[in-house]
Amino acid sequence: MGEEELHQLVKGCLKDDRLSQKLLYKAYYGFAMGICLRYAANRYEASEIMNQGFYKVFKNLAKYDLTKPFKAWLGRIMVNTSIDYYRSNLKIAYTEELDKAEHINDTEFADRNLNYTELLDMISQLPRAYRTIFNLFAIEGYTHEEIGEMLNISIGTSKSNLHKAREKLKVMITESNKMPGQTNRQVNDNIVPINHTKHTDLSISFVNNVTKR
Amino acid sequence: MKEEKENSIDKLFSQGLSEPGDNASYREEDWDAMEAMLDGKKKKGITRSFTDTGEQHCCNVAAGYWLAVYLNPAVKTR
Repeated sequence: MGEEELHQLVKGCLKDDRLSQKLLYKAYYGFAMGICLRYAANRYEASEIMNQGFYKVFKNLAKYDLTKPFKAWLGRIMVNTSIDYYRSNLKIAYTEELDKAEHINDTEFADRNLNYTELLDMISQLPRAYRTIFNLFAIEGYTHEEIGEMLNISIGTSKSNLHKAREKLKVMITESNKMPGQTNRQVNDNIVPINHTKHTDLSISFVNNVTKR
Repeated sequence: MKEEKENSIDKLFSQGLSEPGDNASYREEDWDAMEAMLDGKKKKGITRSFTDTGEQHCCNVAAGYWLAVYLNPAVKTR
């Protein structure tokens, strides 16, 4: 999307013009969903987080500085909304399986040939606390100090959870090598696949995930 | 050295998850939910909608009745 087009849409959104809102939503849907999918346990949860994020975008668009990149501003809102979602489900996050990390021999993992779906499937199998910290550190590039402040946890907890997340991911990668095309499902067996197209009520999807445990 | 090896996991995921492709393809029902939020008709979570409705009130009345009838010493002695 060109800068001029974006500015026109922003102007329209500031006037609460529904068509402009929809066009802006559609234009950045893939980018925003890509972020939310990494933090959520499944597609439905990701949609819920993404819409909460877009709601903040539409309500705070007047604060957006038009001279700065819109994508960066939107991305920060999506990450912050994902963290808010994590915080609002903190009790659930800490009752999930948080265990001792099994140490796997270090091998070179960066050159593994795993596609987006396989990687996302692995990340979504992590307990919420591990997943959030792994995303913030490994993908967004935040430091342990920043993560500690964001999640209200100690630096030690952040480091320890990151280590456990990496170890769990290593196990999953190793297992997926044994069974090509099939990732290891240790936890969250009841997660709805992200490419599942059947419409499900968003309000009950998360509760179902929790109650089945 | 160890950190470098562990970074290979980070690298694998940060690169591999950078392009969601079809996994993040647009869905009209998501916009419908968004529009409902913007219109102030936000779909509430199951817990919240339960507490907001008369069902909660009915449960409270039923629980109160049960406590009054079955835990009342006068009823027990009968």
